[in-house]
Amino acid sequence: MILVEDLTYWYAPGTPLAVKALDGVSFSLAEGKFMVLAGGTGSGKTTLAQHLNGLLLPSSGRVQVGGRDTREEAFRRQLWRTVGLLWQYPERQFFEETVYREVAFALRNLGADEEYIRERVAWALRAVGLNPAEVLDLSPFALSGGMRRRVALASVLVYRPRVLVLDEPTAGLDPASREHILGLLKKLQEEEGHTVILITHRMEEAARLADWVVVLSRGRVCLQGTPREVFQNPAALKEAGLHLPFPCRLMHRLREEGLAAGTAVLTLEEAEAELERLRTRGRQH
Amino acid sequence: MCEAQISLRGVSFVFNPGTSRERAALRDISGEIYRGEFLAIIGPNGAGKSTLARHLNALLLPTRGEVLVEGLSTADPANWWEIRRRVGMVLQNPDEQLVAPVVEEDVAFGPENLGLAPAEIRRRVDWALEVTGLAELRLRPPHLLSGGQKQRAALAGVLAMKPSCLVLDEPTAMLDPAGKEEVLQAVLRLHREEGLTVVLITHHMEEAALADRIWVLHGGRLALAGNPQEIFARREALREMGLGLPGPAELAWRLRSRGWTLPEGIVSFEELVAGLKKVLS
Repeated sequence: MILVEDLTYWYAPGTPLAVKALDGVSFSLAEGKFMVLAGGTGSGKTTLAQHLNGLLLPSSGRVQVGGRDTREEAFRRQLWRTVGLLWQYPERQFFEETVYREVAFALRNLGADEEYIRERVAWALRAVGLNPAEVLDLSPFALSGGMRRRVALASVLVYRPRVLVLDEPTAGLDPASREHILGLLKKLQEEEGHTVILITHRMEEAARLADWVVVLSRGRVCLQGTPREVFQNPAALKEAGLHLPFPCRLMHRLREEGLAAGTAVLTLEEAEAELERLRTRGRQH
Repeated sequence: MCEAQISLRGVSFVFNPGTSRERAALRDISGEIYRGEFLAIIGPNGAGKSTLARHLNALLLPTRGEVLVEGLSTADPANWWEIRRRVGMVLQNPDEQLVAPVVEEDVAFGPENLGLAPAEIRRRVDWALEVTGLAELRLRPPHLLSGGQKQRAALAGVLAMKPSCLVLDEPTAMLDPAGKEEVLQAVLRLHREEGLTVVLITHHMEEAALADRIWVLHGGRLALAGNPQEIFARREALREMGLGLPGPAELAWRLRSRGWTLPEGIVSFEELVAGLKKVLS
């Protein structure tokens, strides 16, 4: 579905301010998969995200979505409908007077008829866990932070992009709102076949959700693989400014303490199981 | 640690009172913030955390009730200047707080406005840059700093006013793990070594676990108050409010309910490791 090959991108090329934001980035992602794109501040995550829906074009290398190159002009103009991008802190870009108008914006631009739009808006709001009847006529600015973020997500879901790219969609949200949004993304991927690319530096989220993890550091891919593969390499993660997920970090630590803990542990449930195994074995000795 | 530095007495706050958009944000909050303590305030989005923070330095005034900062009431405009000097505020987004073309000028901005002698300004700026670990970056323009460095620069600017209390409103929300760690360590050092009172608003239970005490806000009310052990023993109550436990406390709870004999009150990573070692070795 997504193919990125040897992608290099310069900001302000040919000037004294030129910065190489991406440097030889390659990865591919099959349709319907969940990818986590991780890395510290300034690692190039957001620049890469902007290549996936054609907002930026490679200085060299290429980006393909569904087999077509983002450099094709006609394809790029339509690309936003295939690749929905949710910006960081998207609610800061709200400008409509009601939740309905905010969520309906993209469909209205497409000239869809009003009845269809109503239906889609209601669906999108329900999908993000909001009751359309309660929120449709409210000002988006009257909502709490968690609800605003859900409205922003609904305004992308409403036109059903097959690929969802989300730039830290849970930043600044409380644990319950975070869980809700992550659960929704996983559901859209598993049940509706969406391809999801989640940008985050919370490795707990990568561990639980991702089929594939790409870690960027200073514009380069420093690690990629399944979560289990990536988290076997704490040194490289640390180098990229990231931590191991808590359950995995715990197992590494117990090993250092001389216990025979397996470190291929991603979630709390797996940690429980591994600790249970250690305890049972201890009893048998 | 028993002297109240900031007292809240029956504080309620209503946005847009008397209009159709009226909304109660704080409901009858009473409590003390003690001199030299580290207080974390947690709560779901919309619970009133930021609204409460803005009451601590008179950016907002209670609709009912009273806020006293070292005995000065925020209701009296004559006190505002002094209250805002004593209670320094750091916001979520450092870009909203940095104004000058280079770091040290930014840090000097506050003390210059206090009308201090140049030598005193110099002393304060040097100290603030030193304690936030920015001495070497003093001549950098803020836009060339990393997120963590920017937030530390915003912190240094507040410190140069020599506040006795720091209020930080989700200062790490926009930072990556390395930046989070930098800012947290700087805040902890100021608390431990300079004796500053710290009020930290956060969504990260792991950060709250580092505090002396925690307030949990829910629906504008002070729902729970206690030390981290007490607060994180209330798993069900927290879950009902949309909050959770720090990872180590959650895992300890799950293991205990599987019949493990782990001590109560495990909150930190190190406490969990110690508890597990006892059972497993």
